[in-house]
Amino acid sequence: MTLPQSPDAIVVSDAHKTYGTDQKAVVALGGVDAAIQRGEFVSIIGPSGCGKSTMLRMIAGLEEVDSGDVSIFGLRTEDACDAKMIGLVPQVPALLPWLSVLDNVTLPSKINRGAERRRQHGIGGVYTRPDPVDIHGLLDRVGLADAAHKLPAQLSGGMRQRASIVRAFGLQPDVLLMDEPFSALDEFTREALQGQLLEIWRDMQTTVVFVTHNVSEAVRLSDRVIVMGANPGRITAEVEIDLPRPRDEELLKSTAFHDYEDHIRHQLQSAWRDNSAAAA
Amino acid sequence: MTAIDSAVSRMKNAVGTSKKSTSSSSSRSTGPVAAVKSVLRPSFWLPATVLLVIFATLWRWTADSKPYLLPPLSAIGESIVNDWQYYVSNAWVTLQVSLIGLAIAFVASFLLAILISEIPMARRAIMPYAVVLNVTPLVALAPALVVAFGFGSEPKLIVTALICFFPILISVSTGLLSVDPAALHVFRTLKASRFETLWHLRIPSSLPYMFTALRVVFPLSIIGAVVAELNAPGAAEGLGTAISLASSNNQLSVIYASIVFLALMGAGLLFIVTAVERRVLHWHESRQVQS
Repeated sequence: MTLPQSPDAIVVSDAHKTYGTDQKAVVALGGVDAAIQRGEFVSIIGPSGCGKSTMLRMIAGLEEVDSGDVSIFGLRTEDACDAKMIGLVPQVPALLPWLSVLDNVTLPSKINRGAERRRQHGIGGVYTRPDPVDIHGLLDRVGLADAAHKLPAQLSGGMRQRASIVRAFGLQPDVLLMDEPFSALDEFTREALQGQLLEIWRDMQTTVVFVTHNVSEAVRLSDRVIVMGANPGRITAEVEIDLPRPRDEELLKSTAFHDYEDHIRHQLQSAWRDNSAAAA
Repeated sequence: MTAIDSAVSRMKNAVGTSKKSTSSSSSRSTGPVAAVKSVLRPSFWLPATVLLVIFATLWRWTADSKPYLLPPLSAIGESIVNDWQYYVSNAWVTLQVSLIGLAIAFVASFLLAILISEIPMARRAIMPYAVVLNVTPLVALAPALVVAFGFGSEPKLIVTALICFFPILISVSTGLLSVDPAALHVFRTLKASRFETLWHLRIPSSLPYMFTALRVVFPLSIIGAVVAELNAPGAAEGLGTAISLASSNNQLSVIYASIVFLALMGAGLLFIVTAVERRVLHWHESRQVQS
């Protein structure tokens, strides 16, 4: 199946990706189709080796598809990167240890300076917000105002990841790609960061693709959860999360929330069972 | 290829061990006052002082019984006190040769390191030779260079620059490639140009490796200068020349006095490099006082 490109969606169409050759070949993606609408918050969940990170890297333009197509609001990923439309939050904060928090989060504005012009004039029919983002305000919102002049080594893991998120939002990206950004944090910090992420996302109306292996995280954050299975990496289910926003601590305890969790867990397990049956 | 890998891993180990040693020494003292106090404690200075006394006693005993092996310490001291101008002016000549040679090597090797880190083909062409030449005692080239360039400063600068060149090249090119892959991904999604990636990411990432090399190469530069001077004595000045002249005149105390000056110069340079490193790399994990 091939999906048509759209100016209002990230479209992954019949994407194939294989690592290695012959017997050792691992099919990371075996014909994946997905469309993510502008402004949508989509999580990709699945066991390790299901190709969820590969999919994210493809959208980020860090990896090429063997066959198939990836387009971001009708643009090639390369052009989207060139216009600095993509904000990446990797698994580790990836701050530059020699720069202060403030210098780290403003670094993207010093790189690829031509991109601002390209975005303002619009490329491929895509126009983006012209007013610059208030980076100090963002730091303040995530509780990093006092830490703006500290070095990353002086911060806790949670604060570093907050800085990494501010760096990505500071671009005012059309797409925010997050690769298990909270997986190294403790439960409490993780839930606090989820709340902050949702608040900023609501205000900035960015499209978010969020890779995770944590079911409740996926349910809390997303409009839609894409469930993936391994060998070959494929989409096994898509679950719309029809819960009201903002999603606060109360909602986490509700039955509706737990029903979604159970449903997704069930989808993950059946994909896993199919897989072991096929292997046996 | 394996030789390159082993050299690279050795380099990483060197950076790793320097991290450990500095972090243990920095965590003990927190301020200048505390540092002075810890230096004044007998447990700090006594072991080295005892060893010095034992060493001086053995020296004296050897010098008394076999004067052709070692000169009396007092003779060395007298020579330094009486002729300090002679030693200082010669030390200055040697220092100039080593620092200029080192500066040439630094600029050239840094530029080449950038080239081979950016162009894999250049890396594959150059690195095998760099690794082999790094373990070759290039000071042995000094006599050949004296034949080729005469008794001026050229052969001395060339020898000094050559022996400093490869340690810096290997360290810095390793450092330029040891970049946090996640940070590199962020740069790639921003479509950072090669120059931007080099300037904002690769060069700062390479600084710890560069300083590891500099701590090796500053003392090496003095060795280079002295060996070159030993091979071309007479015409120009320098501590190597002084040693060579004293040797032919059986002036043991002059030789050892010159060595004292060389040791002081080496220690001084190492001290400066370490101080600069501490300032420049204040962000490095090893400099952070863990609370």
